[in-house]
Amino acid sequence: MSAFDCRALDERLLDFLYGELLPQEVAELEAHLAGCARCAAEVASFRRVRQAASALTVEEPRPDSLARLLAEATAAVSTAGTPKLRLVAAAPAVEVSAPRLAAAAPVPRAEAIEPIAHAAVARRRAWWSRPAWAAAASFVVVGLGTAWFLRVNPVAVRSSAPAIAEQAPMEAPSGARDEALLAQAPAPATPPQATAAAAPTSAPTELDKHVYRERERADSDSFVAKKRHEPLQRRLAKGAVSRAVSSMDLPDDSFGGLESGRGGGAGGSIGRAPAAPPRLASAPAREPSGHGAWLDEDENPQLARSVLPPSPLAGAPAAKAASAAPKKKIKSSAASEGAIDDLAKLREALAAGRCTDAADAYRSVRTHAPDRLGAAEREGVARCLVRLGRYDEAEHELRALADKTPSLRDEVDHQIADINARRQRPQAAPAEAAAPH
Amino acid sequence: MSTDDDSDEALMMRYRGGEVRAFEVLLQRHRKPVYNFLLRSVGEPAQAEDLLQETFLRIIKGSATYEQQAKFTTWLYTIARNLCVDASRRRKHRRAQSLDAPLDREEGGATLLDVTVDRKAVVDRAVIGKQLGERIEQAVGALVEEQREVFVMREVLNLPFKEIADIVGCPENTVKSRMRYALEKLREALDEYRDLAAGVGR
Repeated sequence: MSAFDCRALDERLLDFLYGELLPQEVAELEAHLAGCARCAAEVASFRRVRQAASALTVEEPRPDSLARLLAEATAAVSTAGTPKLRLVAAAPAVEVSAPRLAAAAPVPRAEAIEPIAHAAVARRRAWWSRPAWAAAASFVVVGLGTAWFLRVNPVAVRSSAPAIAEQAPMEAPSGARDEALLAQAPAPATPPQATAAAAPTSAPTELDKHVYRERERADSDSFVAKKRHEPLQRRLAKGAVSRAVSSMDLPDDSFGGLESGRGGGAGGSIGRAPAAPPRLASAPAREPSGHGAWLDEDENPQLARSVLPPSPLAGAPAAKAASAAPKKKIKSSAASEGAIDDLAKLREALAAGRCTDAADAYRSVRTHAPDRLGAAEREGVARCLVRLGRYDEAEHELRALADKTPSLRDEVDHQIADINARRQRPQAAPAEAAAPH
Repeated sequence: MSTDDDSDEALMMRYRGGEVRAFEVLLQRHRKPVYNFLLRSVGEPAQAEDLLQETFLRIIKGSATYEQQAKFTTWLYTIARNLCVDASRRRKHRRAQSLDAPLDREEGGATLLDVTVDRKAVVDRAVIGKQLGERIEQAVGALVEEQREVFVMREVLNLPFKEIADIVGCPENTVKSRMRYALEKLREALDEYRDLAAGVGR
């Protein structure tokens, strides 16, 4: 009590309360407390506060963000070491969480979807706004630009995606590495009918129609003006997400035009891209009013009928992985060429929605170079297998995916539940597909 | 702290060296506490989620220049806090203190955060009724921002005063006096409550 008076306690009260004192000091202090009722009461009162505070709720953050952050983390480190493969592979995964957000939280959490959706918008706007890029290059830039964009500028994506998007294609290739890739990248070998094959997967939803109506009304506005128009913007963003999800490969133009808002509509923006590759050239068939034109049953009845509902997995990632395929091939010349060829084929097939080809290529890659398979491919293939009615294989792939990437387990479970539902009603086509427009 | 293989700092260095798995561990370890810090700061779950993303994105971005000497949590919460400051500057946040937070989750509160290890206060949940929980939530929400953040960091996140001082960017003594004010205000609020719920306490 002698060396330790009330004032000394007061000075160290907090340290004492929170266990930041040395044992010897604690002993001194307790000795004082034993003899000083006033101080003892003070300490006791604060202890009651602490006890009450232990009842403060501790909330669980939504699980969605994990996968995205991990993808970002993967992309970031890959720039340092063996970049290309992981960078590119990681980019598609970035969007994995978008569909899930869309599915899990339909309306009130639209803000959460937006950043990612904006990224998608950015990607679509990016390529056509720079006609100087040859079509092949722009195809690559789309994937690369997005990867770069999300990696370098994750924050900007949220706040001002559209503005920055314009720069993406210009800056993306500024790294020497990227430039080299662009130079070498072969034109995407996707045949025209691939568009048709992929097209049926994007069934127009009520939301889409609504978005279109909105768009037609606001078509003459500048994009910036539209940006201020939050509700519309939000719906557009959501449209982008749901479209990206529901489609194995939605040609970038189809929504790019929609987003441009600079008159002309979808066809118009395509016309501005000078050296459009075949798949783009086929796009003008999609008139704003004819959303359903994407669903050409005549061209590909089988696929049109087997349209899946928006899936929390893959879709967009797979498509983007495909666009990255040529790069990957160049990069890894040292590796086993055959398997890499197959990997490229796989990605191409996935992007084009050619399910049987994808499944075949996948089998080969899995046998010869399983390490090369990223989550995006596995998801894409699982989707294909579902489409082909090969549910057991699909389930197998999904489970393998979940084992490899535990953070995706939730989605995988969701997918498997979906498969099981399909098993119950093998013939029933999803509602959206049944009513093309 | 940094000799431990599993320390935040060691994990961060491993991530810097390309080991994504190490980053995953960090994420798992800190997502929840950071989220709760953000949530108590901005009040809106949606915004807290956004800021949570941004916080870790900045960590990722900054990982290349990370040095092991720097305490990871200090860095982490400095980022999180800056984001909060920016956010509240942008719009005067209304304090929608967790009215929407189901109070029956009280039990979950006991486990608190992975990082929160040695909680000295013995928790007697039988005594703390729902209403008391509500009361303390309210009282914490009513604290002045600078007191609340210190209180949350010390009480909920279990960060030492010294570290809080580093995060907040002011002397440790200042932090402590803010903490002291916070505790006194909370004590007041609880006393009021206890007087109302007459008879039980005294």
